[in-house]
Amino acid sequence: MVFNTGAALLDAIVLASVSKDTEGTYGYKITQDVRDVLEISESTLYPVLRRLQKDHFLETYDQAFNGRNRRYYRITDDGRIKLSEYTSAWKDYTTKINKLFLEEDAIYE
Amino acid sequence: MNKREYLSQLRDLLSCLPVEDQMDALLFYQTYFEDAGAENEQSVIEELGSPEDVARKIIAEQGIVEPVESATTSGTYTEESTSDCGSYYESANEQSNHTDKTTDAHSSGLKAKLDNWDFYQEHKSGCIFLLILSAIFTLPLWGGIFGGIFGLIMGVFGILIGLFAAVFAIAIGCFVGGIACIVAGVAILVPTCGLGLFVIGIGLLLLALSALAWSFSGILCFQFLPWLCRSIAGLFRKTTPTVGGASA
Repeated sequence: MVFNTGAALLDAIVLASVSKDTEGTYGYKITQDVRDVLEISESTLYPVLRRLQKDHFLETYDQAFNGRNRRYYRITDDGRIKLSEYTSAWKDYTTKINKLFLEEDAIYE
Repeated sequence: MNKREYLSQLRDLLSCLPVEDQMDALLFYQTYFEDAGAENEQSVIEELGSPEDVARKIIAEQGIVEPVESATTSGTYTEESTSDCGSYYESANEQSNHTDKTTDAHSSGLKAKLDNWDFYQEHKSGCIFLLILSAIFTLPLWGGIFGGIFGLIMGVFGILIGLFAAVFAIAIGCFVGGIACIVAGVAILVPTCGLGLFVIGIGLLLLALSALAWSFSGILCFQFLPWLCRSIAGLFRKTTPTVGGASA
């Protein structure tokens, strides 16, 4: 892992990952999905999920699965707003850096 | 180390946190192990890192989220790790005085729940087995109780049926007997006047008795029976919770 992932970027990635499921997903699956994208320790995810939940960007609900209770995380409307803030900031950020690194125009339209 | 030991160590390391946060974290990782599958238990433990690492991350995040609480309990507020867990790694458990300050009753209830949850996790299958076993062994007891109650109810029904039958029988019997006596009395009226009048008199008496019995059966049918049905229905309504009533 060459570049450090700051807290904000981690939040954004987690929000984006959870937002892909309209019904929400559960902790283990979220961890696997994020680890497809980032090389982070599995123990990093829970504190992030907890913080996003307390900030009301994610909400939780419990659902029975195979006789035991599973907690599902789902993105809230506030969460979607925050995510779009993150993605537009990311666009900005990467456009400038790409320009510098690759000396070409922005790859986003 | 296995999953149970891992979670137990994690629980100890998180004990400085509010009980609600402890339970939330432990439930998350408990479910995490289950979702990973029993066969992946060891690799999950490896990838999670040590319980100390996991606990440290949870506590650090806790400090960021609840600065107010840490300001009141520890007196000083620092950016990194705060709240009562701040000195956890350094010194002894002096912080135990400060924990659960504002919500003592609430958290002691939750603490008991946490202990029970712990015990339950350790002995889950045993508890279920014991429950089934005790149900089987007490079968004669509650079988007998239900049988007795059922017999009692049937007995009451029997009494009621007998009562109705008796009243109807009296009514019909007296009526028929009364008519018969009158007819007989009239028949022997001509030859033996006195006896005839006597028999007619008995017949009229019987008719009066039957009239009484009819009116009594009328009361039974049209007043007592509806009253009985209504009071039984009322009994059921009283035993079930009423919405918007006193039980709210």
